[in-house]
Amino acid sequence: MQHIESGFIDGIHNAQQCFRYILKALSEPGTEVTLNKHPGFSPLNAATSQIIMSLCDQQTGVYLSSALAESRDGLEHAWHNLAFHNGVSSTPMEQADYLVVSGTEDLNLQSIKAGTDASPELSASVLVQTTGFDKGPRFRLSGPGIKHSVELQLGDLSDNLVDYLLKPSHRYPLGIDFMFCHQQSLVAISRTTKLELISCM
Amino acid sequence: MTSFSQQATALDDSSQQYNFAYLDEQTKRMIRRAILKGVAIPGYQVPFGGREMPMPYGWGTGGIMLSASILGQDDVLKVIDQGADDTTNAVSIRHFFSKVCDIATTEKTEQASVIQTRHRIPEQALSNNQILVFQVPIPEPLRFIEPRETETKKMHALEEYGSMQVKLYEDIVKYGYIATSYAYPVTVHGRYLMDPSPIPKFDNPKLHQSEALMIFGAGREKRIYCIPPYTDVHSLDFDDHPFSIQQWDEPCSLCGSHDTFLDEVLIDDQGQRMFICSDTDYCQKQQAAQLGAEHDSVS
Repeated sequence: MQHIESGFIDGIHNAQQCFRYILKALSEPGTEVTLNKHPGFSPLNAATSQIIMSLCDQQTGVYLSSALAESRDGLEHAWHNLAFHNGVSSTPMEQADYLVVSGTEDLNLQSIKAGTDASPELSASVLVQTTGFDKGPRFRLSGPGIKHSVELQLGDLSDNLVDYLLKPSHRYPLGIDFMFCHQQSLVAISRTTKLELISCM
Repeated sequence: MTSFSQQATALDDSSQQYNFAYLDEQTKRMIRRAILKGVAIPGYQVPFGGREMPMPYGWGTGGIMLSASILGQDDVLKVIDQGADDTTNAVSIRHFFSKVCDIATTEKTEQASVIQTRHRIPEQALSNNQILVFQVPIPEPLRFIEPRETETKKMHALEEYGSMQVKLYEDIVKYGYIATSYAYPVTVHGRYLMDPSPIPKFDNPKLHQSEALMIFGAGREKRIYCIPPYTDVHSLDFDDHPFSIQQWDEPCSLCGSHDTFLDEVLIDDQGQRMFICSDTDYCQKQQAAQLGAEHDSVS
């Protein structure tokens, strides 16, 4: 049976507040922000849900990876709620504008939209549900939005995700923007951000 | 029971006739997505679905749409037009937002969380928690060299910017120096050629490694582009003709500043003129500080 939960308590202002945090996160990659306006629709965590609720609607294609849920029906709950509150519907991975994936799943990042030379904005944003910002490989970040450099961990990540972050297969300005989400926390990695691996643990 | 006219008056009185910040939520989401793309690709012009605003193009509709999409209840808005808080464009936009958002406004640069600007960057250094929103008339730096959008889009895709260097070179051939003094082209993050809107080139150095996020909106042309904080912004030049900013022989007549951008003001029909700061808030602050210093020395 479908179970619809409540969305943002104050739709207009909560969406605006979340957007400003997302804007802060993406304009200053590596900065951790907290999105605490909604508990989230499981199996999506709070941050992921709030990003989708703030930015997506019937104009955006959303893809939820089956790896997020244990069973195939596991995603139904999130889909029903997102469809009810924002009018989003499921889109194949290759056409999606916003993808929600698990950090540990084996991802084929080559099949995700990365834009074209003339229109690099026609690229996808990948929301990675991760295991926390206190584990996993340690990276040093630099690039636009970062004063000198910052060091951080993004949780346990699959090998091909780490490979892509270190050496993107798309050439700038083409690329994918990542938003790493754990509970209410969000850390974004823009396509302009340069990552170096410091240690594997 | 209330009569129709009473109801009509009640409706007139309430600001609830419009959504918060005028735009509908779907439009705001679309603009917000475009801003995020702009931030991810610094200097690239992201197309967006511009909406009809309750004022004509050329009055800052691009900047207003951006401000409407980012402003929240807790924001404090400052609006400047050529540096001044008290000119028609600045006053009307400030009134517009205090009406449709019911938010606080200020004239003090340091108190503002969002500053919408037409053609200037404030003299006072901006901080990391501020956002600067520019109104842009023509976003395409190559437009006067190549009028076709299909071609300029290709030139950006191929990073084919030689013609802009030629334009600056023609300045040197004609005048002996680079005569371009506003809307001076820049390269952002070593990739995209960008028009910083018609700010004087005096303000170009403030774009480089700025503490504040800068977003640019062109309403008529329906383009959004951004410079995230701490991003390299290079003003185009030549080894033997390095980029330089305007300088004045005299200080501001009102506050005596030597290091601000000055406006030339005619004061009579005999050709008399004076130079004053274009940033009114900064100029008044300098004057107040001097008054305070004089006051202290007297007492």
